[in-house]
Amino acid sequence: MIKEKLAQIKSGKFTAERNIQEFLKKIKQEDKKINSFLYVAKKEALKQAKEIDKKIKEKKKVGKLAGLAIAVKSCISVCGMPITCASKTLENYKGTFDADVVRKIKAEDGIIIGLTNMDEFASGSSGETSAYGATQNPKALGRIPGGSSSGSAAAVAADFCDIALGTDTGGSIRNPASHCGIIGIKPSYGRVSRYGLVDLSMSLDQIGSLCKDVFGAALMIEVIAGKSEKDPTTYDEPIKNYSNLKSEKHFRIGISKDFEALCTDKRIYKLVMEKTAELIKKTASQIININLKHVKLAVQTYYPLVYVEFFSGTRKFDGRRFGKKIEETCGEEVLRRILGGKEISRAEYGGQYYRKALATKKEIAKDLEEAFKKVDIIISPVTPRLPHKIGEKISVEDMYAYDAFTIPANLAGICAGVVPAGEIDKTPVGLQVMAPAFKEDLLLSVLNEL
Amino acid sequence: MKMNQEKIRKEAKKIMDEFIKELDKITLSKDFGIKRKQETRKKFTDDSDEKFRERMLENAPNVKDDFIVAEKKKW
Repeated sequence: MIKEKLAQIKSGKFTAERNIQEFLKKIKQEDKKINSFLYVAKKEALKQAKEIDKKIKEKKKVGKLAGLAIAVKSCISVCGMPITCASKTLENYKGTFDADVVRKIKAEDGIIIGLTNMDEFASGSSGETSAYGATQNPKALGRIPGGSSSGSAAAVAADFCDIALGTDTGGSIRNPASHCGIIGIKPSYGRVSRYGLVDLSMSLDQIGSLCKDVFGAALMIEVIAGKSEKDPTTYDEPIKNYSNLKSEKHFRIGISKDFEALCTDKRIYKLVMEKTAELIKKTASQIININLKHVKLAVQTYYPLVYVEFFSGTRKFDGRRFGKKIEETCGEEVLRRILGGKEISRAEYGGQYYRKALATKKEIAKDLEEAFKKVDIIISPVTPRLPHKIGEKISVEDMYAYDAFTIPANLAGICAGVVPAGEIDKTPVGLQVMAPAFKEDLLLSVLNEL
Repeated sequence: MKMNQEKIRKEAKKIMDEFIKELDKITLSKDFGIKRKQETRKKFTDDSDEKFRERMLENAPNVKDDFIVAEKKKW
């Protein structure tokens, strides 16, 4: 447990160096089969660990993450480390500065242990589109770990680090957290600075945390949250002491038949409802049925937005200042999004694809806004099906449908998180909790009760 | 990586057309703009260090005399 480990490190009973060395040993021994890391920062991590231990020995003040091993998704800039976005396009690119989130982690004495594998440029929901090979699901070998933060989720699940950073545009933290049986938090849009993040879709992307316990995930959000002068989309909302998890009761829990209809594997919905029943009993809460009539259009709304914004965002990868020309080096899914985005942005269409998607996005946000007038939180499954086997051929549309339950939170800019609900066919299944924008404290309290 | 760009472009367009057809089935409000209080980015603190330029040039595929060289007539 993160809280106990932190106390031990801070008291000097367990050193930061030993913490890092144990993880490095495990990564060396086991990551060949998992493929969760693209870069392991052995030298840098050990150097930083020794410095932290020295501070503790000298009774100097240390940060909130003192000595913890933090894995970072390969699309978040860490100065001097290879930020490849799991693509051949950025094969030799090294971060020239620290992203806001990385700067904050370092300031709190968190140790960057390495950069994780991911779907290429975060374009995928399975972890299979990486140019450096698919990541295995440590909790269900042979199956996908989910994506796009595949390596971050797998690294946490395999005990290769204490906490990992992921990014979530349509479910890229929550989907792999669910498949790997861990906690994953997507903060509200504007809660965490995106400065230093290689974007997939700038109006939807958000950086969040993955961990085996709610305390660790909450602590990371507490560290990385806040207004940044370098990201004008961040809000100046107060940052609460998220890791001080309170035991709360009497929640009004919203559930929707609209989600049930989208769940292709009904065993998942049943399991999530059973876990919800436990929460109701434990916290003396009540269920309220809500109407989310537009959520069935979430996938259809999300992809035109992503295609257009991704096409726009990738124009910098022209091979002149860094890397290689993206269209000549990327994989199929990345190319599909670029060419699709280019196509529907053509002048002859007058922006109709993007505009219609924006208008539907607003309808989905309105549905959720109305629902939150009646309920405190909304519970749903995370994915409509179990993770498929690595290499199994599935259609593009089926791949996109993995995120049907997670996309609405991104479209509405609200916060959401995932906890394990149980297992089906020896494969982890998560439960999603959604809360209103900037109510991360409420979200984390509920997750802590589950 | 050699891929059939035209095939992928058509496939992507087909997916987008199917998706938009679904969105066409509902009545949408024309007021969907995002209202923000502040439209322009404030000037922010430049915290780049003296080695930033060095790191940036290391990433460039073609450098000559402290400058990045890009191809001519292809823009």
